[in-house]
Amino acid sequence: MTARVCFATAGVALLLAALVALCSGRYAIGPLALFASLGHDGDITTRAVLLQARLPRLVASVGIGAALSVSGAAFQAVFRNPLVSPDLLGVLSGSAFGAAAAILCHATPVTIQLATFAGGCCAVGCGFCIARLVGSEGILPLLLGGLISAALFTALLSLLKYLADPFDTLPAIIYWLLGSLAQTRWPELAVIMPILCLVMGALWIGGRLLDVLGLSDDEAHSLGLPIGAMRWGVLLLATALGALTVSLAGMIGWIGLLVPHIARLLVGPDHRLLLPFSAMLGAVCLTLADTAARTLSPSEMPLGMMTELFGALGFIFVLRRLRREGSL
Amino acid sequence: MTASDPPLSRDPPLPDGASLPGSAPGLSAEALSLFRSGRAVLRACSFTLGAETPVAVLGANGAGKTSLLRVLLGLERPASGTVRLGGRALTELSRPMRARAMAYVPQYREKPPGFTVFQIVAQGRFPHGGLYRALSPRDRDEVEAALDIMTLSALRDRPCNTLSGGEYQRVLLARAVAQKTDILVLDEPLAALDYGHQRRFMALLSALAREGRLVIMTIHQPDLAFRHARRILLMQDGRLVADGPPERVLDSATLGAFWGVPLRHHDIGRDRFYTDPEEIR
Repeated sequence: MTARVCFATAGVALLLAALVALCSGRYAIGPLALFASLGHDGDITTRAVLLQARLPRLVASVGIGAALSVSGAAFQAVFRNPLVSPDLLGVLSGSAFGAAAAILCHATPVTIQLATFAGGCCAVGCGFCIARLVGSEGILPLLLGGLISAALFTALLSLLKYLADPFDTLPAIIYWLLGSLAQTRWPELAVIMPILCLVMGALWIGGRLLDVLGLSDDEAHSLGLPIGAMRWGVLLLATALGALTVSLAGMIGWIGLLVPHIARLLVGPDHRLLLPFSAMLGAVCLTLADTAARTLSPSEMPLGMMTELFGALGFIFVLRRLRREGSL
Repeated sequence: MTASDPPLSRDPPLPDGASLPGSAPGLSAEALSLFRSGRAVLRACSFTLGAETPVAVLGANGAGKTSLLRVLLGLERPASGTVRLGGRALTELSRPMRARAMAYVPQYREKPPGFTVFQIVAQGRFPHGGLYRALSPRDRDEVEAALDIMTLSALRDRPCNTLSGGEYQRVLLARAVAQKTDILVLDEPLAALDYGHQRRFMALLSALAREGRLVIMTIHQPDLAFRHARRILLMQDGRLVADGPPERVLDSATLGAFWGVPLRHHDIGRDRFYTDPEEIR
């Protein structure tokens, strides 16, 4: 398949997924009623459901799916490893810890979001510091630093859960950890979406840089490239993307690992194509997953659980394809 | 031997001068020392490289050959001593400046997944500004020329992970050629190649050297080094123990003492072979 066909297909898929997401739910809206409600004499209830509940959720799922996938593709480029995801440097564990700490203190939703972002940055900073202690060059110290930091913050999270009130804050923490888009509203989207778009755009413009991150340090230096600085820059941007998504929607696993793989199988490893295609594919996947999460059962299922379920199953298929192509 | 082989590799440069630019690129090392975890890896290595090219660096495993190349390229800072490139200390030159003067073909490693031959060779244009913008027509010409020299044009759109070891080694050399540097540094370029590819690869390197490039390589085969190199550096325990033309350094007495095995050499035409004197009566 040529790249153009892939992009066109993904575009159509994204439109269809958006339509399905807007129409389905407990208050079902037919496609015709959907367009009619946008006119001046549209049904007020339909309009309210669309503009206040479904549309912000759609925007959030598109943005978060895209951001997680782009972040995952960038991480995979830096670590030359197809099995890494945005959580590698501990951003998700750190964010979860931050959120849990804020919930434990009965903080307001905005404070919880800020604490989430701060926790993610804290964990990644911790990972970088450990990497510096272990060694200064190459990617192995970073990998180890991230692993240790993630383990550290997971342990701290467990401690918070242990300390939490089992009837009040513990359920809140656990529900939050499962990940959900149910809480997304326009005001916070208006702040975070532009930032997500900017960071993704920056990574896309630097797509050529991502291509060469697979070189060894010696090769890159002998080609005159400041590979260390490039690697850190890309990691910072990709980490910011991950932390922002967590602050919006909690822990949503697997998208960042799986989607870049599927995208690479379809459009190849060139990041100038891979990043936008991953973004589109991630948006489709998360939109569909979120629609399924809120429509399959009478009460809403956790989105993080849905993505993990489908992601884990999908990964079997991707691994088989990768092995057959000899790239794993 | 193929018809395209160089003339007697130890002959003086051809007088026509067309293939040899006037100023030979100079690379010199002054008393280079390097320590790794307290162990001396390089000990006071000094030499000046220039007109005699290719230069072959021979030595046992762990003798410091790769470290020497890395220090020459500026990938590692020596504990003491200076590397000079065209008379200027390497530390005064920015990384892109070095990359426009010296290209490096590292030891064989895993092939990167997915990227095509053309994309890998085009990486050689980064030091000329090719990273932050699209390839210019001139960049494309240089890449095509490099593909052509390495007879890779037919493979240009193949993903690198479908290539054989010999083909991939040629891709890496083509990238170094596309870098358009006066100096080419290769670390055991023959390691992953079968004998036929080794001979073809050495002929390619000789051809590049005849164009006036300073080619520096580590190698383990004394017969191929004798046939193609014009200067030999022999290393032992981080020290330069011999430095000179192949017929002097690569004789059976020096090499036999160096490796601690009895050796006798036989010159046949322009080639030199080594045998065990106790087996051949």
